[in-house]
Amino acid sequence: MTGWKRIVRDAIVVAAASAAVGILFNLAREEGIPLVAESPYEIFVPCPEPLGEVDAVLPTSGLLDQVEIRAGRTLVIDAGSSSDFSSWHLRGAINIPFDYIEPVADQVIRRVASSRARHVVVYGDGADPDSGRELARELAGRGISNIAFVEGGVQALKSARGAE
Amino acid sequence: MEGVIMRMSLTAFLVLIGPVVAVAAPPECDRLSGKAAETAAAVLDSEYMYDCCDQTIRKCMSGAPACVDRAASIAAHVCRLAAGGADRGAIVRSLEKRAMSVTGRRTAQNLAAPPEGAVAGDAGAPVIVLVYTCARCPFCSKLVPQLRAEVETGRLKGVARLVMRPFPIKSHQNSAEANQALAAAIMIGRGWPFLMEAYRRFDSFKVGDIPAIAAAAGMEAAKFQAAASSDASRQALVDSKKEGLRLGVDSTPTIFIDGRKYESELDVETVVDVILEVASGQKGQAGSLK
Repeated sequence: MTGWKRIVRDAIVVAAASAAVGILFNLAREEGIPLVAESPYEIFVPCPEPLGEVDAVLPTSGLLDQVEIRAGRTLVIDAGSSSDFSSWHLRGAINIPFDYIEPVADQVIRRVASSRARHVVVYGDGADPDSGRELARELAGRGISNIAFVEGGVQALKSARGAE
Repeated sequence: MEGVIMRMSLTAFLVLIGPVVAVAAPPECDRLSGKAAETAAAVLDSEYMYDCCDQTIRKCMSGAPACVDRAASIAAHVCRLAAGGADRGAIVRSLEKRAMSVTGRRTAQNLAAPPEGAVAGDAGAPVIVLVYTCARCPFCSKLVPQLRAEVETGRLKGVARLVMRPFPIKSHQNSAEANQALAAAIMIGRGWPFLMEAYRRFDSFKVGDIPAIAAAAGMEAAKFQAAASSDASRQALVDSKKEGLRLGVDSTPTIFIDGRKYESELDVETVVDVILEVASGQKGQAGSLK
C-alpha cells in the first residue's frame, strides 16, 4: 500500500473510531442527545440590537480640531439627513444619514473602517434619542473602535465651533 | 343560647386564627427532591421578602393573609429555578431582578395611548403590560403569543392588557419590511392578528408572504397595501423605536409591567407570576399610559 493510501486509511479508521466512541458515550448517558432531533429547533435567548459601547465627547473636544481632521487622525461623521448636511456640517465631516429602521450598509462600514483614522466622532440631532449616539453605537457594534459621539449634537457643535 | 355561644366561639376562633393563615407549599416545591430541594429550602429559610412582609419567604407563607399568596408565588419561583438546576447564588440574583420588576422605579409612564390594534385583553384590566417586540425575533415568536393567550383567555384575563410596540432589530433579516407591515396592521386595527400570523409562519417567512399574512389577519388587500407603503406607517414605526430607545430597550422582547422594566426570567410562567403579583399589590395606583 502506497504512503498516501495508508494516510487515507488511517484517517478513516481514526474518524470512525472517534465517532463510535462518541455515539457509545452518548448512548451511555441518561439524557443523551437524540441522533435525530425530536422537536423543532428553538432559540431560547432574547434578540439584542447589535450595539457597542461608545464614549461621549464635548463639542469643544480637541478630537474635533481641524488639525486632527485634516491630518486624518479623526474621522468626523454627520448622522443627519443629506439635506441637513448640505445646509451645515463641520468642515471635513462625511455624511452617513442615520436610519432608525434600516442598518448601515456594509460598504459604508468598510469605508469607515478603511479611513485609518485613530478616532471616529459622530454628531447627530442631539435629541432624545440622539441620532449621533445611536449611529455611533451601531458602528461600534459592527466593529468600529475608538468611536464617540458629540454631546448635544449638531446644535451644540454649531454653538461651540460656528462656521468651522 | 347554645347557638349564640357557638357563634361567639366561632367568631373568637376566626379573630384569633384569621391573621395567621398558612398555605401549603406550592406544587413546584412539592415536586423537588435531593439537592434541588435542599437549595430551595435554604433560600426560602434565609431570604427575606422584598415587599409586603418583613420575614423570610417561608415565614411569610404563614404570615399575614395579605402576603401569603405573594410569598407562595415567590416560593414557586424559587422552586422552579432550583428544579432547573440553579444554585443558591443564581436564585438570589433572580429574586433581586424580580424585586426590581415589582418595586423598581417606573420609567415607562405617561406614554401615548396605544392604537386599538396594538392592545390585547379586557379593556378594564388594571395592569398595563407593554411589550417591545420585533416581528422577526425568534424568541418573541415563542413568548409573545403565550402572553397574548394569557391575557385573552388565561390567568391574566381581566387582570392585564398587553400593549404591543414594534421595535425592529436591525440584525434580523427582513426586519424593516416585516415591522413596517406590522405598523400598518396596527393602524388598521389588526395589529395582533397580523403579528400572531407572522409568528405562526415564522420559520418559512418571506417578504413576499406579507400580503397573505395580512389577508389571513382579516385585512383588505388594497387597504393594507396603502397603509404598508405609507409614510405614516413608517413614521409610526420610527416613533415606536425611538420611544423604546428612550426607555432603554436594547433587545426584544422587552417588557414593562405597570411602567416598570421587567428584569426577571423571560419565560411565560415567571412573567405571568410577576404580573399577578403586581396586580395583587396595585391598589388603584396610576397606570403607565395616559
